[in-house]
Amino acid sequence: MKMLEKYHDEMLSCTGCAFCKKSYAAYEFPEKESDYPKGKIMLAYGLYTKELEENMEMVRALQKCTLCKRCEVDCPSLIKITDIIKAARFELSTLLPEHEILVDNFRRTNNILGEENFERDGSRIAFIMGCMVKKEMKDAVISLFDKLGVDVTIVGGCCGHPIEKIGRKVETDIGKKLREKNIEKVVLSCPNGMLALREFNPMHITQFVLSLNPEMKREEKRYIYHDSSFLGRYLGIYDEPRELIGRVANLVEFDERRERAKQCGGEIEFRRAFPQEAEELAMHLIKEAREKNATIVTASPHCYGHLKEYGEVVDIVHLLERSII
Amino acid sequence: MEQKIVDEIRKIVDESRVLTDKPDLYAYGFDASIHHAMPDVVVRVKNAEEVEKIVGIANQYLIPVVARGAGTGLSGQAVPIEGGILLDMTSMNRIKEIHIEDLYCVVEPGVIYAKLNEALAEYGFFFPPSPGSGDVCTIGGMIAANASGMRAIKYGATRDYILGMEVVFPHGRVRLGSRTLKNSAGYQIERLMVGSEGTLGIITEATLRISPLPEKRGVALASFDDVVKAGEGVAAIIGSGLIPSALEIMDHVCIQAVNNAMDIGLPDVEAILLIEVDGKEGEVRENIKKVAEILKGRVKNIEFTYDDEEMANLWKGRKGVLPSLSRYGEDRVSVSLADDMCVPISKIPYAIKEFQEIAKKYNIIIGTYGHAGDGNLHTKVLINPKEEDEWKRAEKAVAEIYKAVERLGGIASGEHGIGISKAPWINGDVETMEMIKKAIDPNNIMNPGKMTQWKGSIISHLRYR
Repeated sequence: MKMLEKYHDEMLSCTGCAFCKKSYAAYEFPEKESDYPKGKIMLAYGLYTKELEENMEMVRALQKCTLCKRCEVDCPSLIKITDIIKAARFELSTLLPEHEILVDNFRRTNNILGEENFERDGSRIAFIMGCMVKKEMKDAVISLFDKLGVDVTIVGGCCGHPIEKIGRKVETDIGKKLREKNIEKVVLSCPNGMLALREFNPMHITQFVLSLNPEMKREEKRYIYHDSSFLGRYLGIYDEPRELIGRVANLVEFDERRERAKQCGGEIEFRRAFPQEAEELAMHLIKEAREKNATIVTASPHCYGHLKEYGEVVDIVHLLERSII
Repeated sequence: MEQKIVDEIRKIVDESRVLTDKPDLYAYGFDASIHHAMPDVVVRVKNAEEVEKIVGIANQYLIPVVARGAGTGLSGQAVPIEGGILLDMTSMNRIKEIHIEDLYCVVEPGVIYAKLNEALAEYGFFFPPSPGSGDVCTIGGMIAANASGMRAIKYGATRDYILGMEVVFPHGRVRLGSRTLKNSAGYQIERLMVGSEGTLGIITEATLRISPLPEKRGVALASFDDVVKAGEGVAAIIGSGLIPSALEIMDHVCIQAVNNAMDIGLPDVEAILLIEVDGKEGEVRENIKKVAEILKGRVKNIEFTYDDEEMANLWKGRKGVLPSLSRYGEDRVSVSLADDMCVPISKIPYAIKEFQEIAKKYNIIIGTYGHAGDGNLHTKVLINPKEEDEWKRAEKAVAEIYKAVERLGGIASGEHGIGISKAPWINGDVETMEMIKKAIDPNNIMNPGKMTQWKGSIISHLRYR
């Protein structure tokens, strides 16, 4: 229990007040105690104290969480809830079948979706295509960098972060490639990749575009920005996407936004294993966007790939690509 | 528990709502108290018929039945210390009726307090008892504990809003009370159910009185360089005839804990009072001024706000005291021991002083906060839960606290309930309580081992390892 050992005091500090259930009140899917963060902390504690033995029910309970950190916003004890859950996942010997497929894909193809990666050589500015970006918006990325006048190097492959979130460590060769190519600036649109490649001080695509300050055309449309949990609560990037959307169209906001933003359920490892829950999470955002007569803009390929299954959504990469003159 | 009993339950409730897997039983064994114990089976009931049939089975086979809402209880009421059937009431969460013109609503027990008030706010009404856990706690749990919260000083506790109820007793399902605002037609057993902690029956529906929302609220934040002066300030406000809608106290330990845990920036002083007044706009402003005048000479500083966001921020700090104390530092966590005493209002300064002396004597940290306006003080004992010696010292300190409270004419619990954690210090006539319990639940299946029945140390069934 080496991973959970680090969190022993943290687990004891949880008073069990259940304030972490607050944001769950909007949804139908939480049914039993282990569906809530408090229940998961208690399971982790039982695993650590050996009062509980691992079984499939526990594996499902501990994996049924996007690690979005929304519950932590409501925790007055500032418990590192997602760190505890993640640590508990590393203690589990079993994976869900849906997750085994992702791990297997990664090991076979260096891509969690099992698809071929895309790469190209260019300048010392590199864009990490990743698995999700490649699937959802490869062509738009290439065109965007062309419009920006950047001869971009594209590095493919998976960063491994979704695998790490389910409690397995995998080696990615992205760092090695970046060093070999003497890359000076790393740009991503996937917040998972940004977290995995922190050592390279990566920029989000919105930060990169803003730094170049390109000329953009406006359209008279209402766009509502969905804060990705990982771009927002993990990386603190809230303003740059809003700044860009505001330049090209009319920005509308969700009632709960920035650090209080609702999770969309789009994290690939979550939606593969819990599609119904992921759909309910998505539909809350789709419904609110419809009520506000606005199209959702995402800034993460995980969110985009998921939300577009349920309503009108545009990723900021597409929006920028068509707005830059 | 015998498999045949689980099989019988599965004939009543869908298989997916009958949980016997150990991780589920383990997770359901916690509330927000220091205790933990596993049930033999968890049943996520959906309606009164299911509850009635399950209680019938329990009565037939003499198996304990414990009801559980959101699991926010602080005294171990929902911890099934004798195993048996744990009923998860949270799926019974319909607001069934709202009758504004008759001043009542009808709800199922699993309705979340905040959701009920969201629904009532659309009509300009509310259900006034306001527990700190209101964003997540259920109405059933509030009734079972007679929860109240910071507005009890003006609006009273849950008991004051109970008009009627549907309850499943071991002998069957009955309707209690009425839908009328007044009732002198015989014993008001629905009110006996309030604070009964599941030891008599399971509440499957409640008819609640509702009140119009006040037009305006204002909050004064008064800082003191001495906690006793703050206590005297409370008595002075109440003695003036002004009844605030909330009057809360926090000592330095609590202020420090909240400031460490939350970005609220409370003044770094020995004690603060949060005084809320509500009513018509002019009345609110006038009363806030009156509060400032009353506290002149006692207070180090006083500021006030009428801004909704600023007020919400202050209350967030107050509501966050309890869990924030777990971030006090020095390897100490906040444990729910001696956390809910109630003394006559004028005795508050003496009570706080005694608690501080007891903390010093036993070398533990005790934070004091609470609803000073109605004499309800919450203390939190901060200990290292891994050290057996700290538990022993805490237990002795707790016993002295309760003795001091008794001397001052107070009681063991104002709004959290007795459960296990406060059982040795239960007030009132225990013999009569036991006679009632025996008459209604002769087989002792309803949440056994709690309240008058718990005879052991409070430091037992500990959840800390």
